[in-house]
Amino acid sequence: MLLLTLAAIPLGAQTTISGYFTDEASGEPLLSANVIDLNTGEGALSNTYGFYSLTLPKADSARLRFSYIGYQSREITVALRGDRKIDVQMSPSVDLQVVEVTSDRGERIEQQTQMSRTEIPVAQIKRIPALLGEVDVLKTLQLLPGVQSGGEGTTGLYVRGGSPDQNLVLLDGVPIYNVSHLLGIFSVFNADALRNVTLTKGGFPARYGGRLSSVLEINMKEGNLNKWEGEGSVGLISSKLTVSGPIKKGKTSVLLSGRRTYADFIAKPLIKSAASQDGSEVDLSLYFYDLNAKLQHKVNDKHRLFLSFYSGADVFGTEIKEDDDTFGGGTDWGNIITAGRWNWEISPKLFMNTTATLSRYEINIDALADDGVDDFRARYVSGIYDFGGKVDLDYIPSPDHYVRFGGGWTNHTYRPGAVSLKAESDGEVDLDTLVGSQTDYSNEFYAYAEDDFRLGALKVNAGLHFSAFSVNDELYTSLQPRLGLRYLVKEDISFKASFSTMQQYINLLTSEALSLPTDLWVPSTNRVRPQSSWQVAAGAAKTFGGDQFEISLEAYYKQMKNVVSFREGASFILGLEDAWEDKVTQGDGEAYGLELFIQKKQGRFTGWLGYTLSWNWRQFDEINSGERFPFRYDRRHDLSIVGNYNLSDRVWVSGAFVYGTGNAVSLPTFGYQTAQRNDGSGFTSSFVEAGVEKNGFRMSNYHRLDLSISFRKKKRKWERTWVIGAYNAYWHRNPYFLTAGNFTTCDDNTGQCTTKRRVREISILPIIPSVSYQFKF
Amino acid sequence: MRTLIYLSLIIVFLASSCDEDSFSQTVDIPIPEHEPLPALTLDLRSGDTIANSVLDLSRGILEEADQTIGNKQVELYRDDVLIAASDPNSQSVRFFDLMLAAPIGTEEATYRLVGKIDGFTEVEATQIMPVIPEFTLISYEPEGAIDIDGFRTDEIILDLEDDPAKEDFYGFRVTNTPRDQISCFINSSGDTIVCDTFRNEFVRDYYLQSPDPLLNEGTGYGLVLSDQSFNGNTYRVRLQADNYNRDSMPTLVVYRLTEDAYRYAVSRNAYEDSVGNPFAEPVNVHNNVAEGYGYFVLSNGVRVVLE
Repeated sequence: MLLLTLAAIPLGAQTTISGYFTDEASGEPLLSANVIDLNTGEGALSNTYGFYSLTLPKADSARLRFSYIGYQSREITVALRGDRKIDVQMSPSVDLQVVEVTSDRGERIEQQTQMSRTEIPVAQIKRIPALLGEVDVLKTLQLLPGVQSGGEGTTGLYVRGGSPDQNLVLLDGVPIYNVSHLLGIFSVFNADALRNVTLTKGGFPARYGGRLSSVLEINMKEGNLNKWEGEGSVGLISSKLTVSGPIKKGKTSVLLSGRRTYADFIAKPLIKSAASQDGSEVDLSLYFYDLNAKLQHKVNDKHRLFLSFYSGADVFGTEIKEDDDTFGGGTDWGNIITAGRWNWEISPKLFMNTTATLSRYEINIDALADDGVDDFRARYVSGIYDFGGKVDLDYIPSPDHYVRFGGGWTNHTYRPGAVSLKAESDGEVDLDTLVGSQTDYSNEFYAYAEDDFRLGALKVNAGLHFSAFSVNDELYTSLQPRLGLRYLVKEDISFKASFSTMQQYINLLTSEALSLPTDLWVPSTNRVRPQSSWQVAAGAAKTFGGDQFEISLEAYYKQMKNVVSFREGASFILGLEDAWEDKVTQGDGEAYGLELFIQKKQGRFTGWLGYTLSWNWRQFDEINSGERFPFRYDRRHDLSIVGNYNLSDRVWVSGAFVYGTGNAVSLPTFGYQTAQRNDGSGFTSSFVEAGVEKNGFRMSNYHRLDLSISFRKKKRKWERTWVIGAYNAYWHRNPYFLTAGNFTTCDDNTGQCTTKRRVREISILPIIPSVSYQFKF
Repeated sequence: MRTLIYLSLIIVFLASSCDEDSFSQTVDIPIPEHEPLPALTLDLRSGDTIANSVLDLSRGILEEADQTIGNKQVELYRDDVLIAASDPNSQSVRFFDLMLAAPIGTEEATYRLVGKIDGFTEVEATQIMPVIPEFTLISYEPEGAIDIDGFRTDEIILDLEDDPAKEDFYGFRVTNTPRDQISCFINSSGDTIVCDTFRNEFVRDYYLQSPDPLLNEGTGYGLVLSDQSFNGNTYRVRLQADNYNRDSMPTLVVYRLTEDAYRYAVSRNAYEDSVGNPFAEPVNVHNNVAEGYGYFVLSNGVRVVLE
């Protein structure tokens, strides 16, 4: 197909202008910046690495305009004598308050072939009110149409009927397996270290694969090549600091960023003081941290090298000493990822990015009991370890074609769980063994080719994605066609459609309700088949109000095969390691809906409204008697309104309101008395609840308002911002789980009380005020 | 000044949100009205001399128990011959101890349990006594294994001989062995010590585990196993029993279960695990009573004293 595409591309006398878009102050590459030849009307966009290539018919000169929203446009006239290389340094516009949330910054929404894709500027993410003042990328994405949250206050993303394991989350191109801290309350992404965040939830171009529901690309800042700068904050639960600057100006830069919580610093003295009264010593660990680092080196005009590193973990544990006895336990879990990247501008029309990746997610649980004579130690270890590489090439032969092709390979090592046990008595080793140390290996390979081409008012993105997965003696292969269409009806309105198929070879065994560190990543096997899906989407997009507003309306339909769920009654907390294939079952999923997205991109007020009307079903032969049932996060209506209003250049207020249909829950509808034979002798009579209709009931509807106000003050060499906010500002008791029982209610007028069995909804997050201090230098 | 105004507005707004019970609310979820039906349960095993059954009416999850149920009767048939029946006039009784003239035999027979409540359709369930499980005890080694928590446990290894002709289900328990004990006391006149031998029939199950992932916990049957993955072959079963009482000799009980008994044991165990866990999905206990609710399950067991 690629050859056919290339053969169809007209070749003639041409001149190619290529180069990089960068921010003048920081040297950071600018994604989707725009260059247009005002003489011919031909244009091009920069790629993720800031590279652009514009091929023009032979002429004496070209009048080029370089633009990027939020930056001052530049116009130059260049003589076209052979290929030209022009690196463009863009300066921010005077009005820095312009922030936008759009699919691509350099191309209006109706112009793009790609649909179902949103990029949120990090600056916007930082302005949205956040739980405990912790700016959170994933929670911001939950405010987009087609993206739903899971449990209250958690970071799980449910995209167009999918589950969180169906999201491919890439940090600098490396898959990251555990995206949350504190049981899913915070994400692992420190916004200060990030450059851009892009979510694709449908119409997947051929370059994407490996997951069914979405691709979330998060890129770290590359580092400031020109001067040292920094930013940070001090909040209620954590502080963070990011510094970046040149090691060799214009050539090599480094970025370092760290975040750590300090609940343990507060709790430690209190607990130590209480324990000392009992004559014991307590050592407490209770924190999470993230470290990001990046090294950038410009070898020459054509070659650039990057090295990214991330490490983050949650650590909880206690160790208690009483006389000669020491006992305790703890758990820690976290990711380490590393990516080495090489950008090579092979020719003015051909750009290559080569990435080598390492990713590790591991959880450890420790137990210790030592009475001075007998010493027992146990450690549970579980994890997934990846290494691999990929090559991506961009070939831009003319303004009418943008060809991408490449491939990659990943080796996965799964360690579903191993327990090491060691016992000593009087220095003699009684026990030293390893239980359940089974390790599985798999290899995943993919290759793709796609072309984004123009046929008059019609733009097409057509491609093929091939993937293969080998595990034990099993080999799975899949050929996935992708198609995206855009038809420009008028200058400012277009219709779009897309079709994509996806295949997923690794699965997350999780509880749905909680993001637990013990959630297991496991491969497809000869018994557990790969998940697959196909999705069609159609919609329209329009810009109006003098480019201030964008509106898009999309309808989608998605079918999923072989989605994984626990069998009825299977436990999801530990104990799965060896028997997980016996405890899961596979079935089908179906999701469809309508998404409306209206955003205001410019002016004192910016923000968006996102509304989703959706249906989301599952069907498993072994669950709910084989009957189709609503997915736990089937949400008929989901509304988000996000706004930011600049009272002045020093003060701004932000708000986010969310409303959603209540989560689906399973409840027993009746019960009866039984004779239960005991394990020992005799029998007892007990009442069992029955008639469980899987997700047949709804919790109360969810709604919440978050508010914040920010006060910025510029000093001579730095600036500071105070942010005061409130999560769930009007304290709505949003249900987290249900409990049934006898509850007494009293009539306020008569004073009469009645007790009857009812269902009580328990909420966990009341109003939570926050304050944080941010600084930048 | 403007800053103060903003802050004041926020504080007023937040304070106005306070409430007495901030973390929960009682709601009425529209649960459909339940049409009561007879619910009949019995777990019967070879060797039983009493059948402990419950017959009751089901009730909606938010309804209180109704004490005024009409006449009830439970009947147990073997190959269509009535072998036990409850008192037909026991209006207030839900729990029935059906006395059997002879212990439940191990030979193949069809058992039918019938429940009758005035004003409701008769309910029943049928089970066929499975054949005695065939197995060979390979070894029993006290403290011969280490469990997942690092504790020494007794290791029991046996080979099951599975019937290739049909789908089989097994259960494994380890209990203490009933034994004769000597008890002495001073007689009423206070001048003589009297000793007597009596049989301690109290049976207590040992906590049973297995490193084999095919074995699942099953309420009432210790660990249960389906022959799906080894049908017709010899299958080696490894058990680990926590024996806290070294004075007592353990007894291994191996059952062949009906499919209903297997499904009941697994689902009941899952049900018990889910009770009180707000994050667990509720579970339906296996139901095999026609025209009503409940279960009638049957098993055939063999006991081996481990020495």
